[in-house]
Amino acid sequence: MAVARRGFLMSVAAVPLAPGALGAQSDASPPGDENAVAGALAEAVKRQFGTHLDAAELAAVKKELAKGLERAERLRMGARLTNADEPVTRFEARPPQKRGGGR
Amino acid sequence: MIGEEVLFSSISEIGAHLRAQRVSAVDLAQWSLRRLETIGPKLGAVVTVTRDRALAEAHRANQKLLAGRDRGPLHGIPYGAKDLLATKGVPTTWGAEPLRSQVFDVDATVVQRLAEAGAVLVAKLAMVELAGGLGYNNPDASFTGPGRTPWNPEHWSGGSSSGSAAAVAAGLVPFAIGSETSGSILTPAAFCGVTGLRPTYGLVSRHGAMALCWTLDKLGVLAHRADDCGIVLSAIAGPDPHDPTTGETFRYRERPAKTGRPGQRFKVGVLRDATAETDPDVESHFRQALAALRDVADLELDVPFPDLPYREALGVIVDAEGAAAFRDLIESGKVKQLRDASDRVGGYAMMMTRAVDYVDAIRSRVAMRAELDALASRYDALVAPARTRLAPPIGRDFDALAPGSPPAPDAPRSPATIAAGNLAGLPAIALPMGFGKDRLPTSLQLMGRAFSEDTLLALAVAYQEMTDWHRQRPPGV
Repeated sequence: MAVARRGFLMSVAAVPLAPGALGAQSDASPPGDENAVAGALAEAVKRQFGTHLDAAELAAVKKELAKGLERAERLRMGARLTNADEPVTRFEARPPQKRGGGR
Repeated sequence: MIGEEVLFSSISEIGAHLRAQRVSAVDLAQWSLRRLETIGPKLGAVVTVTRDRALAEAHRANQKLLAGRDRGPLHGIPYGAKDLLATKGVPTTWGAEPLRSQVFDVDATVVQRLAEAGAVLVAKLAMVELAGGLGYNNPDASFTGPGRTPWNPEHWSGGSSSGSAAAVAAGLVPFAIGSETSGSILTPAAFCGVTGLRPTYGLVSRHGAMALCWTLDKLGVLAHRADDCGIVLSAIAGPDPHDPTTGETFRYRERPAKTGRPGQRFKVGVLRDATAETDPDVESHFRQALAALRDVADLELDVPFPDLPYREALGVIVDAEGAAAFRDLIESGKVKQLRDASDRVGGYAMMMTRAVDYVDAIRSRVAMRAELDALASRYDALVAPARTRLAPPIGRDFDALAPGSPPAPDAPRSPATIAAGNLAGLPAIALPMGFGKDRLPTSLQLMGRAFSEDTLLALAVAYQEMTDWHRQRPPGV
């Protein structure tokens, strides 16, 4: 189950942040941008998968896309990653022992 | 005289009856099969009853036991498997209508290991379609219908291991295997009033299990007691060449663990704001649970939980990996056959997840893992309610249950333990801690450092020795 756009966690466990709450004091995307990007992505969905989706479903997809973009923005503002932060490509639960050197 | 109520007993108690020949493995299998066939459908808990396989395995278990070839504590014990575990020749539906006729020709590693331990597979248990990966919004999200908690069938069993939890709670099986990507063991354990163990990521092989998120998926145990979970985990854990994430081993009670007695008291961190946003019953029961824990543990109150965007990172990862995992179903349009309306469209939005967002999410996991390990390393367990709310009613969308207005930005929020624990791959146990409004269960969560299952289980066993919530039986079953 994912967050923000997933109803169960929204209602039962995770009361979502107010939209843009974490990013409210940043100088990142102005409000409303997510909607424009979501519209563009929804158009891509329509072109790729339009035969499977009616108008109401496409509207629901667009709504989900906007929520997903807002969520990604909150992640970006909350995680504060730098150029040196590497991804885990094979995840292990036990943190690796510190080695000498490093960046 | 022993009857089918023995299925509510612990694995050790059932094993003692078997070895004293007061019951046979065939008796146990037949009682379990009868209850699965009569009670199971009322709870939406069962997909397939594996009657022929069960009786054949039970007969073999009997013969071996009589011949003195005892496979250990699971010998002759019936169990159910969430229907995302491959079982040779038996449908494995992943809870999804378009996959109702899917059959594999191998057993999942977990199923193989349980067979080697002498356990008897009696059923494939119901689950939320595709383990909830496409964003379901209603309890009725499986082709078998909504999962119902045996404590009050008008309420949801939780998901996605719905049938695994309900079947244990209703005494259809003494234990069941479930899976968790983000809450799918702890949530149904909480809503069904059973004990649920989510092992450390990489401790149990997922070979033969449906993939939702390769970097998050874990298989675990639902049972009446923490002790049962430890016994089952011993049988299923360990390296498997078919799952490259595995490597560690686990042997329950192999190493001496604390007992809670003087000189061996546990150290427990009670998370700050653990009861923010909780149902009043959950808050009250949590305080009672803490009072019980004080008999065996030194509690440090108000422990701050690292404030990081766990839910956001988890959501991005589930969307990206889930879209890849189910790409064929999405692109073919077969998702339109799914039960839940949100599941029918969710995959199309997931397909548009941006690569940079996914990479940032898996980059953020490194810092999250480090911060959580630093916190967890100071305690034997961190505690909070497993779920902040009681099981929601059947028939209502989840988003219709959400509070009317969003909380103020500075309002206390309960720590996102499920999202955080899953992102960091940490083990956790959900334990029944009471019954609230409408006889709905509440649940205590113990979360620990990676591969600290022995300590978490020892604390859970100590808690259950002081309480009897796990021994209670739902009415009418």
